Order: sequence, then C-alpha cells, then structure tokens
Amino acid sequence: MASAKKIDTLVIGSGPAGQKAAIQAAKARRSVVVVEQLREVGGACVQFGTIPSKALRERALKRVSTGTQPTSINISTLLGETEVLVRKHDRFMRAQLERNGIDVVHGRARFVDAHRVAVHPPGEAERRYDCSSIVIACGSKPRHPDHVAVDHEHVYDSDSVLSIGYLPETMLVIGGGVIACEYASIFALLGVRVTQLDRFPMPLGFLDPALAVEYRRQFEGLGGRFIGPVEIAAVETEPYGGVVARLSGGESVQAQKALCALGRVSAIDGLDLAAAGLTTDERQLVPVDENGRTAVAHIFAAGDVVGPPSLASSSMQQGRSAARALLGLEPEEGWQFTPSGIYGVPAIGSVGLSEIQARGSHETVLVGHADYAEIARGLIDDSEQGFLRLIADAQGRLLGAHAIGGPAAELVHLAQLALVHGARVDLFVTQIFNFPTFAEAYRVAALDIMAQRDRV
Amino acid sequence: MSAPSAGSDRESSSGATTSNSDLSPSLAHALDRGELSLPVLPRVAGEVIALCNDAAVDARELARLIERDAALAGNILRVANSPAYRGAVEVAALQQALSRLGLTSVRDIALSITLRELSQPLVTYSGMVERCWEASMGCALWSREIARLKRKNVEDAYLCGLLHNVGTTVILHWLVKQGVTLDDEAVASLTADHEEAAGALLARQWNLPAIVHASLVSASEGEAPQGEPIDAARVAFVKQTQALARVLMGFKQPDLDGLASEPEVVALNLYPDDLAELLQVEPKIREQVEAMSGL
Repeated sequence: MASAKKIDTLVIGSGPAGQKAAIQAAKARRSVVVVEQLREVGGACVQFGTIPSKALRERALKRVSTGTQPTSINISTLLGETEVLVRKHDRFMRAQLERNGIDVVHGRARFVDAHRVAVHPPGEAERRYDCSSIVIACGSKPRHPDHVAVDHEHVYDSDSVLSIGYLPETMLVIGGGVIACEYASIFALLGVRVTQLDRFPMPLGFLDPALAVEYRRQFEGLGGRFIGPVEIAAVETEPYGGVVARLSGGESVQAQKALCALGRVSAIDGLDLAAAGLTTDERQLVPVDENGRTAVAHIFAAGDVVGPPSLASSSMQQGRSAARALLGLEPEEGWQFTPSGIYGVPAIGSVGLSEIQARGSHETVLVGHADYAEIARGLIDDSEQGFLRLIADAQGRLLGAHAIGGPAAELVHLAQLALVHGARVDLFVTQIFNFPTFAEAYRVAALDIMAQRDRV
Repeated sequence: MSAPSAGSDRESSSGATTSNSDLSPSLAHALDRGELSLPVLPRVAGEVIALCNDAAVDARELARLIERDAALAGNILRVANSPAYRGAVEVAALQQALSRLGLTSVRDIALSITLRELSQPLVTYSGMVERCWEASMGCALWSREIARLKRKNVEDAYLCGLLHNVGTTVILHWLVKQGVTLDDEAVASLTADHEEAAGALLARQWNLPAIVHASLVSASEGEAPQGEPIDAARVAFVKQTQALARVLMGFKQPDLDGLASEPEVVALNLYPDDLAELLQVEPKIREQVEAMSGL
C-alpha cells in the first residue's frame, strides 16, 4: 500500500455542495481533492435530477407549445437532447474545477480513520489521502420502500425514470412531493394518463394551500388524476399486465408503468463513517451544526447528506459555509431566505412564510393576489393560468411570496430581495418595472394589500 | 456439433462442390438482395402451438415465450411497426408492442410465423443453433440485470441482447436453404465476415427498433439506423452491457476479484460491491437459461 498523500482538504462528492466547498477552499490556496464515484462531475443534481428533469420539462413544453401532438413525441429523442445538455454541463463544471486547481479523482471513498481517506478507482489500486479537513458531500439516492417493487423496468425511481424508452399510455406516480409532482405533470403534458397516489389529501401539502389547489387543478386539466389520502399496501409488477398499486382498503389501481417518488436517502453506503468517529441519525443523515461542522471538528458535511431542504441552491450555500468554517472564516451574513422552485407544469416558486405560517406568528395578515390573466405579459405568453400571492403583516411589511404558472420560480426572487431588506409591499408600487413583464403582478398584488391595509 | 462436417472444400446436398471462398460472395449477394429470413426454434414453436390450441390460453405465458425467442420477438416488433399497426411513435420494446397490438393479435402473429418457419427446419445446424440461442438468452438476461443495476433502460438492454447475434441465425438459415453443410470453423469464418451485415439487413427489413439496429452495427462501418437519431451514449451503453454479459457468461464461477479489473467492468464504472450485487442474480440467470434449453 502506497503512503497517504498529504493534502489540505478532501471533498467527497462533486455535486452542488461538494463543488462549492472545493472551490471556496481552493480560492484560499488550499490543496483540494474532490472524489467522485461517477465518471462525470455534478452528482445526482446533474446526472439524474435537477438538470435533466428540468431540461426534459422545457423540451416537452416547447414541443407542445409549438403544436406537436403529445402522441407523436418521442421521449427517447427528448431524453437524448437532455443527455447532450448534461454532457455540456459536465464539461463546463470540470473546467471550472480545473481552473481552480482542484484535483478531481474518480473513485469511491472510504474513511480509514478521522484524517485518512482511501479512494478506490474502478479496476485500479486503492490510493490514500491524509487530510487536514474533509467535507462529506456525497448526496442522496432515491428511497425504495419495501412495499414498492422498484425494478427500473416497470416501476421506476426518480433516477431511472430518465431511462424510459417510450411513453406509456398510463402511469402511476407514487408520492405527492416535489419530484412526484414534477414528473407527474411532465408526463401528463406528454399525453400519458397519469394517476398520482399519495397518503395526503393534497399534493405539495407543505406549500401555501392556494398553490397546491392550483397545481392540482392544472394537473387535472392535463388529464391527470390525484387520489389521496390513500395508504398503499403494495406496488407490484404483473408480467405483461403492467403495474398494480394495491390500496389498504382493498381497491387497486393499474397502469402500464409506475414511478416511485417517495423521497431520497443519504448515499453514505461504503463510506464507513464509523472509522472517522461519526454516526448518523435515525434518518441516516449526518448531524452538523449551523456551519456544517460534524461531531469531529475537522470533518464537515453539506448537501442532501445533512437533510432538508435538499435543494441544489441550499446545498451550494451549505458547501460554501462548510468551507468558510474549515478555513476559519466568519459565516456569511444575510442568508435568511431560501426560495424553492418546483419545475412541474405549472412551475411553482415560493419564498418566506406561507399564509398559514404567517397567521401562526402574526395577529393580522394581509394577502395580496394577482392573477396572470390581469397581467399583460400573461396574456402575451398564453400564461393566463396562474397567479402571484404576497403575504404581508398589518403594516404591509412583506412576509412571503408564492407564485404558480409562468416564470414562477424566477419571479419570487424579487420578493426574496424585498424580504432580505425588510421592505413593505409599497416598494413594488413605487418602483418602475419593465412593461410588459410578470413583475407587474407584484404591483397588482401590492395594491391589493395596500387597499386592505387602509381598511384595517 | 451434431451436423455432418465439411472442410474448406465440400459437396453440397445437391451434389455440387462448394468452398469457403465460393460461399462468401454468394452470401454477400444474398444479403444485398435482402431475401434472408430468420427461423424460429422448433421447441418454442411447439410451445406456441400447444398454447394456442388451448382454449384457455394463458396470454402471459405466451408473452413469456415470445420474449425468450429472438425470431418471434423480432417478428412481433416488425408487425407492430408495420404500416397496419404503426402509430406516430416507433415501437421500441416488446411490452410496448404487446400493448399496441393486443395479446390476441400477438398470439395470432406468433402462430402464423411459427407455422411458416416450421417448414424450414435447421436440423443440420441444430447444435450451433442451440449455442447461438443460449448466447442470445444469456446475453439478454445479463444485459437486463446490468442495465437494472446502472439505472438504465432495461428493455433496450434485454431486446438488444436477445437479438445481438441474430445475424448468425440468418446465415445458418441461408446455409440450410443452400443445402450446404459446413463445420463449426467454416461457419465461424463465414459469420465473422457477414454477421453484422446480416443483422443490419434484418433490422432494416423488419423495421426493428432503431436502438436494435444501431447496436447491431459497428460505429465506424455501420450504416445509419433508420428513424430518429439515437443518442450515441445509449447505443454505447447497450454495447457495453453486451460486452460484460459475454465476460460473465464465460465465467463458470464468477470470481469478484478477477472480474473487478476486467476492462468491460471498468468501462461500465462498476465497483466491487456493484459486481457483488450483480453476481447475486447469476444462479437465477443460469437456471433460466438451463430451464429454457430443456424445453
């Protein structure tokens, strides 16, 4: 066994958290090695999740909006285009890492002890690194509950669904969370008769209820069906009979294919965290403090492996925070509001408090509403189905913003900046926005709140 | 090989003396004319007929039989993609074909193909047909499990594995029609030169899914598959699964350490624990191939 190579920082995983941690450390002139078990960099975000699913959505929307009949869309072609985009992204990220002097090592990592990590490249001898600090950013993988027979042929998970070779006529989507709703609505848009099954009465139950109701309405408008609350006893494949979901009440729902989207679990297999003196919690997550530091002072963790919100954006921030902490720098200020984007059909964007959360902490809550049908840009873009809701306190100070339809995920960033600065909604009325843009919805919703405030 | 053998110079059943050098141009010419067809294995044919004569035919059992046989599978796909049945999107997998055609139509198609092909038995090359079929089944079953492990398209991998040596079967069929008997070595030489062209011809004539066509031809020399362009990575993956499937079939008792450094394993980015997971299905695959061999 060769002696261990001494380095400053080793990062396990090249997804959003690992990348940003590595770059932050490298910019401080640390010697940095990133270990990635896939050949490509970017982690699940680039290979299986965020990037390809969003690319698929955009391509599907483009085809349908230009008049292509869903039944004549070849999913393999769409996924092939997505694959090209993923490879471009891989090249871009690899160049970024190289530009920062980061050594990307292909292989699977395993802790030898708290400072040493062994890396095993496929087909090659193991090599070892002696590290001053380590960042665990190994990400997550789809959860496969025992009662769902995921075989990647009839029942897919959110990774393998991107390998689907043709559009089935019918599909079950198990789950009501973000990934489930994104794929359910994309497949519905592509003409698949989708039935979504969940144990909650509404999809996306964590959102402002108005958005969840609107998502469901638009999903059903695409021919989708949501069934909930239901308890699923088992999801099984039937040879040439497709897939059947057996419900606790004795009923069953059949389809040609199914997608199991019941969350993700941390991908810590083979890391041997115990060798480093680390343990995980009951959800297999690595416990960390607010700066990503684990129970072992020089080992940090970031991204999906530390748990929610498990967004690519928040993972990047966690990676940067962990690197700042290991460099001995003060935490960055002003990271208060993490927006969320759901890239289904329709898209959803959200930041700050929901109406229900606001009513739990404020005596008076004002809600401003702007339908896209009232906005010139909505009419121009044929995006009349959707709206923006602003949540404010009795003085009109912004507490949250929630949008559905159109460029919802982009739209809420304006509200995010207003939240950071503690602004009142009046700001949206006094400022001039480009016309016609969806930003006009802020003015309409703000005026709605101001009128209510005057009455209060 | 139970068939009577011949050397490089031989006498055909019609009494004419034929040599290897004579056969190769003849085969190439036949390929150009596109008149070759693919036989159905008699044992599967018998099963299909027995099932179809049963009033209470079990559609699932019939479907399973079809899946096991390259000729039947290929014909079902050909019909599903024919003008009579073709929709706006190409049928690319057996399950999709069954869904489009309906099991009754599938049964009828299978029966008619079987009856037609039964008149052209490959008795002379039965040993080679058997080995060819075992390679086809083994490759399909292993490819399916590799694809499952890698979260890639399982149906692509299975179908391409099943049909990966379809060119050899086509050539054997042609030899029987010619009334020519060759030994194993001579057949191997002939198939080495013409298997790809024979497979590609069949893929084109039968309108097999583009992924099958692409997987049958080499990237540098092969003709472009018909239909929409196929992502190169998808084709490359299918070929990689077949390469590893051949390695796995070559191991009597697969050894993890020995396998881990095989280039086919490295090409698929498989780690020792991935291999360990994959090898768990080895007994099941062996049983499946053996069970079907004894039909």
